[in-house]
Amino acid sequence: MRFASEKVGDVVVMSLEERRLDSRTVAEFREAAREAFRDDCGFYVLDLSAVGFMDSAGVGALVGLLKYLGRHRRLELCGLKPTVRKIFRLTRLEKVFTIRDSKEACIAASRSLRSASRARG
Amino acid sequence: MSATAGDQVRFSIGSSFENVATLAEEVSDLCKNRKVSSPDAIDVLRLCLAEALNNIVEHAYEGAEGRPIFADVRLKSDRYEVMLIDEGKPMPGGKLPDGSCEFDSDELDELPEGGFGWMLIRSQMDTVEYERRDGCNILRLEKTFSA
Repeated sequence: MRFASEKVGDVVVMSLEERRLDSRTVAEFREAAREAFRDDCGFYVLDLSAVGFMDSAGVGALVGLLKYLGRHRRLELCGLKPTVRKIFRLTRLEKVFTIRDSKEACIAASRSLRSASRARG
Repeated sequence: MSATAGDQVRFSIGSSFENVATLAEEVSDLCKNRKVSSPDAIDVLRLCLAEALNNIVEHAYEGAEGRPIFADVRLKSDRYEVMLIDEGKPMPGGKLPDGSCEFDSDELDELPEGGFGWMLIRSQMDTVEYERRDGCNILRLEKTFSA
């Protein structure tokens, strides 16, 4: 599973560099995501712009990742192509995930979340 | 591998997730070459084929590789029909799963990580029929669409 990961401020961004997230690749994905997100920063972004095909096994693996990270760590998705976006709609999982257009939008969201929590004190 | 007879194209593969991915892409390419009018319907077919074929590899053949799977594909500009045939174990109870997949999106721990495949197939195809005949599973998927 090819991917790049970077830390931007307090956010870890994992960008998949694979065209498919499906039955064939989910086992590798699970392992790669846990490696990329081992940094305990609490805000994680998964950039799916390279992915052109995702099946139910792929979307199931993303649910698994969300559950693995738990309620106190945040996962956001970005860069979904229309065909990938569609599977989230068809499975009704788009209500479960936070999906934004770009990683920049996710990073901006993490900053406003942080300042909101600081303001609450 | 594929062979054409009339308006039907028969694909045959040995069971494996790798071959499923390739077959779904080949059928998708065939749709484009045969001027299937709706890109959206082509995406739907690629997805549903991958789901149904993965199910054959995983459940009918219990992960065994190299077992025969045939896909007979008929394409028109506004309609497709696919018949999938395998020699694996029959569907549990001899019938198709109902494809229901209910969950409460607020209950993180309760979210399902699987079971979306049949839900996708049933929601996207006009017809989904299953038959067990002569030791084979025969699954027929059909959809009509507008350009």
